[in-house]
Amino acid sequence: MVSLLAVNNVSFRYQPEMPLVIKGINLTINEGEWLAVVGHNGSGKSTLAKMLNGLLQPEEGSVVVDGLFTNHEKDLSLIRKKVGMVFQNPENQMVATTVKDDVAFGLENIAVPSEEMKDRIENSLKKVGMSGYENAEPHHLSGGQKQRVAIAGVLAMKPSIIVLDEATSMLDPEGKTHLREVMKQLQVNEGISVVSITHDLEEMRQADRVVVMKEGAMIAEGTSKDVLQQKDLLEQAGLMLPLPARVGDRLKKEKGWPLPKSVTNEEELVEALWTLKQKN
Amino acid sequence: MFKNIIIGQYIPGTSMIHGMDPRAKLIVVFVFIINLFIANQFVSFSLLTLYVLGAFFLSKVPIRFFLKGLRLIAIIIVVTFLLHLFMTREGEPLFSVGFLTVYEGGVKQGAMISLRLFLLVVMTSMLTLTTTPIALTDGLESLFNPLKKFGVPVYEFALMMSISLRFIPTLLMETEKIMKAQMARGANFLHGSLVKRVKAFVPVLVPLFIQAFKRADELATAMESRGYQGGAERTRFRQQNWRGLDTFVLLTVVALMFIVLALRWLS
Repeated sequence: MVSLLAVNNVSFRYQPEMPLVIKGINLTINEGEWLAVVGHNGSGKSTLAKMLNGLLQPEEGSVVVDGLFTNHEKDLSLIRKKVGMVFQNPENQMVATTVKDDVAFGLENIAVPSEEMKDRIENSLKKVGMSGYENAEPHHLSGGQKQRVAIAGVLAMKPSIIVLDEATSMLDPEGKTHLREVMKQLQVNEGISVVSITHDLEEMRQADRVVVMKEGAMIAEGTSKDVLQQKDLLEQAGLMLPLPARVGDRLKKEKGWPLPKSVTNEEELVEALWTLKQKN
Repeated sequence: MFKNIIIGQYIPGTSMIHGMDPRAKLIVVFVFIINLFIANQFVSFSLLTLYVLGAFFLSKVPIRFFLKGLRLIAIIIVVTFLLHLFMTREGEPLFSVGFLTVYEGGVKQGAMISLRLFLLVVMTSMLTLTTTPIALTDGLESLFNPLKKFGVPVYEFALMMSISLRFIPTLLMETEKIMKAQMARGANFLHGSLVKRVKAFVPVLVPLFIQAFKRADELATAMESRGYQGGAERTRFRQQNWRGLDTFVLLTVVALMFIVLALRWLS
């Protein structure tokens, strides 16, 4: 596996007298993988996200993107082209008055010739399922649609990593699901690495690898299935298991039903219950 | 309340005037206004009126949109006419009403000034009715571009302008939301004295401002992470193209200027 981004022993605080928000984190992001960073509010996960493209500079340690250090001012423009970010509030990331102008914003910043923009815009809108909305105005779009436009804006710059900083947290369930599907497709078809900062367990399940953060430190790392099994760990990180997992758990504990160990989603629960019913 | 808000007065269309380069439209309107102030002959005014009529028919914008713009200015036009009618003492006295005497010069002067105002409003409406605010911003930006040499941040102004246009509906919708929230808690925006109603608005403005600052902060972060660097060289997605038509229209208004100037000298 080729590593695209490396976080080397990074510490950070917002003000000199304040306590550390990030404490000695080591992390690599590989080509084409989906990494979820979970943890509850104040665990430092959003701060970590902002360091991945140089919006914040580490106090100690370094962040290296494809051989470029984020603390080199002159490389920032290139780093931001490689590491795209989508933020939490859909409303506050659209700069322009129409969808296509907004997607063009990033391209204008990196000085892409205008003849080339049209294709890139069309392409990236198509990939996020927003073709036909080119001339729509932001206030006529739903939250989920705005987030997909934000992704298209990042995508047009041909990034190798897309960081979702709680990008689904303000969306309705349908918008959340749609956005996750879009990202999955981008990961599979385009080979783009995804880093999702989240406390949504569904999003976490979609990841290949999960990093759990607590009070600025990494307390666990593993595949999403592994991490989801460790209930104590999730509780420590202030995360709630998805409803099917909790139901399965309590059926086992309180009713003593012999359910299989790994019930993480609805289908698995239904399957387990069916099997149980057929046996009896 | 603020749903389906339209910013500016732009009426979508495909007319020849809609298709003109915004820079051309801006210059033409500007030159036309100069013409209006040079004109002092009946013939000049007739020509200018014909010019506006021509533009009106070519724009295919329904007349009611022009009337809407005129409604506000109508009082000013009428008052100016009356003032000039009664205050100018030139030429033959025509008739008197009480202590006021109307002179021939007054009628002429009043008519001229009102027509000037009227044509000015119609022509500027023509610009805003056929050009989107964002195209106008682009047009102004490129016309003011030479000022960059003197250190005027022309591009930054244009960007500010377009971000404002982008956020007007957002802020209006937010105002509505906050007002509803306050109304649910008993705030009354519709009744009471003016002072009371204005005071009732303070609890709306405070959260609105706090939110606006928060938005600005987040937008700045998002822009930065999309590679925006103040002052750096950027390319443009929205291209303006100046066509033969634009040059032609510009020439007509310049020709009109020569005629109006000539008529003024000859008189």
